[in-house]
Amino acid sequence: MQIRLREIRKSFKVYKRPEGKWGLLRGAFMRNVTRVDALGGISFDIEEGELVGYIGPNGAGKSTSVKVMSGILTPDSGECTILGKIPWKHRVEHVSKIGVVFGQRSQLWWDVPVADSFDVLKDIYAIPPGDYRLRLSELSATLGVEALLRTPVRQLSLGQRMRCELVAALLHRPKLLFLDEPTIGLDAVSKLALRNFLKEENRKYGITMLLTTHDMDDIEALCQRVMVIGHGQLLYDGQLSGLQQKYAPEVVMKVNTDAMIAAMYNDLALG
Amino acid sequence: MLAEGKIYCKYLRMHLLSGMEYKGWWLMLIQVLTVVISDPIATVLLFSRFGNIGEWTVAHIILVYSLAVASFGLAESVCRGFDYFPWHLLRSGDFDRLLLRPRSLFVQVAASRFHLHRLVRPFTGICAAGWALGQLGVPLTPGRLGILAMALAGGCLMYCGVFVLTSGLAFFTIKGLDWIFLLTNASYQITRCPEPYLPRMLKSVFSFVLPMLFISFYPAATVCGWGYPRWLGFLSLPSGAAFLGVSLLVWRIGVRHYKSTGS
Amino acid sequence: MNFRNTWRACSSLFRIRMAEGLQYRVSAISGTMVGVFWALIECVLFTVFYTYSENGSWNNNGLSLPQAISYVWLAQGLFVLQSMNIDSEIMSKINNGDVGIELCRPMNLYTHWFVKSSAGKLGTSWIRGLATVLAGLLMPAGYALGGPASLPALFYFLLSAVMAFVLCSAFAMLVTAIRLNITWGDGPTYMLLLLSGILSGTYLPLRLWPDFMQTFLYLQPFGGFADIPLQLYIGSVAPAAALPGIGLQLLWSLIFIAAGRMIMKRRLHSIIVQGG
Repeated sequence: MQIRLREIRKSFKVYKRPEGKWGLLRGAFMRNVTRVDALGGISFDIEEGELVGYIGPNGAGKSTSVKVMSGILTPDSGECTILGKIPWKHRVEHVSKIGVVFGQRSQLWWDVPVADSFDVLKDIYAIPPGDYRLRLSELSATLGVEALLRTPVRQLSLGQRMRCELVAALLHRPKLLFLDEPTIGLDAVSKLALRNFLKEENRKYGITMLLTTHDMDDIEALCQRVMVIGHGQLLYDGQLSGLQQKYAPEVVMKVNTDAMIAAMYNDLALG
Repeated sequence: MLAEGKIYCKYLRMHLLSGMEYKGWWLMLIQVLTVVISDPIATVLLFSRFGNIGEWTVAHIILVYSLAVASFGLAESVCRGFDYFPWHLLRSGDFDRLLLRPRSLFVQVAASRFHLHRLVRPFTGICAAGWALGQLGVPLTPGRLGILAMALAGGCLMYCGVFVLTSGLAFFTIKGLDWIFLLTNASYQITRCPEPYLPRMLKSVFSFVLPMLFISFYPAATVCGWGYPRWLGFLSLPSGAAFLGVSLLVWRIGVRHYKSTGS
Repeated sequence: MNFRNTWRACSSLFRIRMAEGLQYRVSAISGTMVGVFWALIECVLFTVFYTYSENGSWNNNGLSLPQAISYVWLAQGLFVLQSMNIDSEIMSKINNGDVGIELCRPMNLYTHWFVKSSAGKLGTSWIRGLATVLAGLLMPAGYALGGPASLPALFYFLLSAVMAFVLCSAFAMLVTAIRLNITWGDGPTYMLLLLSGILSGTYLPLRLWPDFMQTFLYLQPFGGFADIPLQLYIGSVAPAAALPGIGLQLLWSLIFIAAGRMIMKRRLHSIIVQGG
């Protein structure tokens, strides 16, 4: 078992300003504190090599649980072991074995060429030089970023940048990859390329992946298993088809719009 | 430890590379120079109007003052990241990214910013100290140089401690963190006053809370022989390190707090 | 927009900002701490210089020790009127290019920003200023802020302090207008603000600067930020000389406003010519 969560709870304090005409003034002297449960006892297991989709509305607790699993956040109670370690207790050992990709945030240095960023990551993760060269050439070949390595990040398009982010996250051969909305804002071609790459990486190296997204096409293309979270509770955990049967049995067929648009873009490129 | 040092240098290299892309760097240089030069104007003007205070001339004061300012500038250069931490790194949420890297948080935060032009301050400070020593007719022997270098190192540690402390407190609240200004830019203002004339209150606060006098006045006194116990001049490094140690404790508590609230 | 509406909009903006200022009482407290500490250090320094220095006892600068100490406290109080940087909201608009949108609005941008930034400045700092002055009044005898030299002195001080606020705001707007025309960073505007701070008397009372500079120091615009009202309060400038001083403040305010408007208008034209 690679990921094991048992009854993880986490709540946050929220301060509210008193309402009404004098709220602004009264707020200066008192505050209302309420506790909000972000996670109300979540348990699940993920096996090695699984590719799991993690979905739920905004504010449901998705990013809180990803933060717990990546060791950024300590939960109030509950057990969590990942690769045999407790993430928030053994931060350094833990994070050297995982990779995290945020769709909205970059881990590359903005003003310098991509290769320089990778070079720093090599030292940060203490990757042996030989392995680094091998891995970098392999990853950049598959993702088609060899030509971009000398370009400063700020000159990259979003799609190009995202591919470089993936290289950065996978350089140190993590056993586990967290992806937080990796396809957000990407065009159809880039999306498809990204999905294929993830699938391939998962198949070849057995990297476990947990994918947070709002794009159901991502889930459909990549994940056999989905987990749905809402109000800090796990609402559904199982096959995507099961979800469909449960909530939308009447939906029979759906055109894969991304594939359609991608075909069109490719046509344009050829013509 | 060695690996962390290497990482720090790698980060600095990245900042230098990015810095070259920025065209207005010479303006920044002039800007810092203006601040540094305008800082002691008030002191110099006061001396020119009022004359010396007993045996204390403007050179005495400039020596002590420049030691303090130079060590502040050094700390500002090597720990620039901590200086920015409360207002930028923490707010933007990029601190999460640092937590995801298998390296010491201290090194990562310290190296998260670096501005070459900040070195203007320590550079001018050291030049001013040299000028003051010349005025006072104190020749530089290796021993004296050692004491002064230790004072700078201790002061640098102390001011790094101030920045680390600020960042540690910032995990709890950044509202009203402005008082930290007392420990940074306001703190070396006390060196403008000759030590024997300082009120006892200020003297003890700036010896035992923030070891300001230990990194500026006493080393200067030992070097120039102003009739203070010689060993006082050697306390700069230990006292600076002690202050940094306490600050690191606060920083650790802050990190733990951050991990449990995530805000 | 007629005058009455403008006035109403301004006063309500000020009211909101002042009430907001109450919200940030923690930062007001810490700001006050810094101000009080700074003033205390200055008090110690002046006491040492006046008491022990070679020329301290027979100095001919026309400023006695109690006067200098009162000056220091009030300077810390009035210091809050000075801008250390351009209003952050306006600055972010300049940086992300929203200023083009602002310039296309059918109202007078200069007036709008003037009121907005000065209200913002006063709103966040009026508590700090008052609290610092109050702390000065409560200090033990040697370090305390003394009373005004006379009743007319107090009256002229208040009048001149209001003018100082107008002058500071006008200067801040001039700096903002200059910043609008500079594409390569904050350096020059920062140095302008620094220079104004040094020449305002908050660094060192202008009377204690070298004698040969006194005429220049009197006529330069930045003395109006703090020095003129402060000297009126402590009585080193007689109430009879108050009106010329306040007139000087007024003159410089008008010059700053005219220059600021002109530069901003020129910028407006160039943006329209370039098409945004």
